[in-house]
Amino acid sequence: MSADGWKRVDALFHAALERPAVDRSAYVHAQSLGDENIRREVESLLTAHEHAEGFLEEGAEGSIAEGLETDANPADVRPGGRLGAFEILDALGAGGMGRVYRARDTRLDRFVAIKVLSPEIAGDPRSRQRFEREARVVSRLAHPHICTLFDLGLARVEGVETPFLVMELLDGETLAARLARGALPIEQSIRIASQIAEALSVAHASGIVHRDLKPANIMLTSSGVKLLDFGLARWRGPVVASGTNGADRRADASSTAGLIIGTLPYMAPEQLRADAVDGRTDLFAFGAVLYEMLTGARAFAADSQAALVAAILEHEPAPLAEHQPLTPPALGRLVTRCLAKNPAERWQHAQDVAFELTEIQERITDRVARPTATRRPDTSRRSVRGLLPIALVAGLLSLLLWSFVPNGDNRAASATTQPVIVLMDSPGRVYDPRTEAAFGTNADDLSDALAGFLVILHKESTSSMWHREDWVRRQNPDLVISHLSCLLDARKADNDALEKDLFALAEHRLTLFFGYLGAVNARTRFLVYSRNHFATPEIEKKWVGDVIARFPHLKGRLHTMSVPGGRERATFRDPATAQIFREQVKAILVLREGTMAADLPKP
Amino acid sequence: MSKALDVTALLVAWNNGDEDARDLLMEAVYDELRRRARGFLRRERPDHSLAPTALVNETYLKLVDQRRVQWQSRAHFFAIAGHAMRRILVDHARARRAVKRDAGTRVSWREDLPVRGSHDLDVLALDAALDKLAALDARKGHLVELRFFAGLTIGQAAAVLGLAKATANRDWVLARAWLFRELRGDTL
Repeated sequence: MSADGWKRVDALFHAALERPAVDRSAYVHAQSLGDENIRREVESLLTAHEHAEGFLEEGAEGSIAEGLETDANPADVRPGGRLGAFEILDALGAGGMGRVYRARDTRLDRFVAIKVLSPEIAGDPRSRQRFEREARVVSRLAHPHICTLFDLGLARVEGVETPFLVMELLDGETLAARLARGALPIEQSIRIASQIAEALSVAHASGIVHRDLKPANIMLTSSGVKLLDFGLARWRGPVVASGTNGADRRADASSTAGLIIGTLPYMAPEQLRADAVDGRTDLFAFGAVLYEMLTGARAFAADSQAALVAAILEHEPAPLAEHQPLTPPALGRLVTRCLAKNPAERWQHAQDVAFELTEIQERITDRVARPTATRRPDTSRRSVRGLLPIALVAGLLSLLLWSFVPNGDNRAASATTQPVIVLMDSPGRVYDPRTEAAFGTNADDLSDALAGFLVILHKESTSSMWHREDWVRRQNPDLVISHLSCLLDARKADNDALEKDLFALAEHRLTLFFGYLGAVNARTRFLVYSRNHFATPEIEKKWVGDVIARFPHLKGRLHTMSVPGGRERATFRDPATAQIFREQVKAILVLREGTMAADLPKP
Repeated sequence: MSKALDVTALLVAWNNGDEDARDLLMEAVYDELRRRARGFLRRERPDHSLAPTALVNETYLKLVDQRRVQWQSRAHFFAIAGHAMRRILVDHARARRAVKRDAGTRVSWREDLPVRGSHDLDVLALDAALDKLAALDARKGHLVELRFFAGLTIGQAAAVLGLAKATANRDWVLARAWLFRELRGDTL
């Protein structure tokens, strides 16, 4: 059959399906306009359709294609339907114990979220009784950072009396969704953590333990954090275990006796051992969540559930500073104490954690507001240059320069959130055959131009591009600065055959590198400079055009700079050049200012 | 770890326009799926039945660092995995058929593979019919692959194909009828 013919069959088939079954044949006959092939084809397909109900549908069972789900359709609860006094509007997703819908309360004429409990919970009278008792307690929890439980309803779903929860309707995204885009800035992490700790503190004082604190249960809204599913974890069904990779999976009910409740990567040792849990159990999960906010990496991760359990029971996570060198030491200690294996060695009360977080935040604010001269005892460029190799020789992964622009005009902007810059250049590793790099390095040159910004210098400890990508990604930088040639693979540079293509290779790698970073961190901007590659504005423009063509999401986020003044002056040691560079970096960061306040989603 | 990183990186690269990544991805996903399926196919685990779609999902969880991929990359993964799963089942059915040819036994999923939820469906016939359908209407062929072999719902498959859900639903109804006629026409 021709493509045209098939299109007609397609259209006629569906048009016929919209008519009553008895009229279809006549309709097809009339609409096929004497084309017998079309008529026969459509009629035969209509006949097949009558019998094809359910055909091939079974293959689709068991899917947990998380994140692709756009519809939800448990029987009887459907958008447009009603549940008691509630008009179901649309599905919001599947939560811990059942599906969640946006609904309208027809009595109070307000919008709410409704969670319909899964039949296995609803069907067992004892479970239901306990659930209802606890729901009553939770509904008394009134706190700005706990999702309010309004009501407990009852309706028949699939013939079973099914309780449902009526909750505050929240607008925002879960912390899990936010973490999918990488680590959070330190101050935002602290702010979120403080709110969680306060909410936990209030709940614990009422004798309610969350039991399943995890990023998916933490909602980020325009009015701050909201904790979901308080104290309800134990009704999630027999067992909720989790894969090592994020999505919750309900384990085979028969294989486990319903002792373990929680989400594996965030579960405390005592939960895994099925020992008694209390508020300190939540503080362990809290520590794991805070760790993940700061680093973008799970505190405990492994390839299998067994290995994950072992990790939680026996291993200490990698120190925070290893992932995120900017972490204040006190914050690292706070997290470590949350993650102590023995509850007796943890923080004992969430309120203490909240206080400590406030103090850490104040110390950071003080440090930003009152920069001390001790960080940079001598502002002469010679001594700053001298620091770099020493620090690197000492084996530091990065060098942190807490220093400020001498005229102080950068201070007001940095008092809230200090923009983080990652400098990709690395002393001694820059290979640019066209650059005279005899004196020092690019990084040395830039240290003056970048004085006054918070800069993390990347030491290339490996030639793997993905390693570098991963490292830079974890810094969650506002700006990545790189010389066009800085990403060369040192081993390849030794290969004569490739020597002449070095520059093309560098361009290619940098393009991939930025393309990738730009995709995983939507706010990061990039600045590429070159002493002589961007010889004319046309070349510079073409380079940007080529990169954007390949990675459209970098549009507006990729900046370039050619060092002016000719070859002999093409060094950032020239104060005028350094000043131009500094101004450009500032301009880029100011461009970003507008988006900084938007870290939390708005309604 | 390194494998998960590779697949994730490939997904992102493909999503960013690197077409070469697609072939590499296909191979990586195919290998992992086949490795996982092998135990079932050899009846090494007689107490378990093979749910191809569950396998696809397990593989996804194993291979892809979900925190690093965007929605489009997940969609791409399932598109590829559906196709890989189809290849694996067809290859296996062909091998079995070669063995059983003399006896003239029909190779169906039910008797040959302990496949859950796919009663008496001849995988080779389905494969051939799908090829025919795809020649007639590539989009519908793709949709069936996503639905049946990757286990996506209509809504998910619509998302992968970039279709409105209503359109995907119409496609599905017609494709299903067409395949039913092709495979079960003798029962009508």
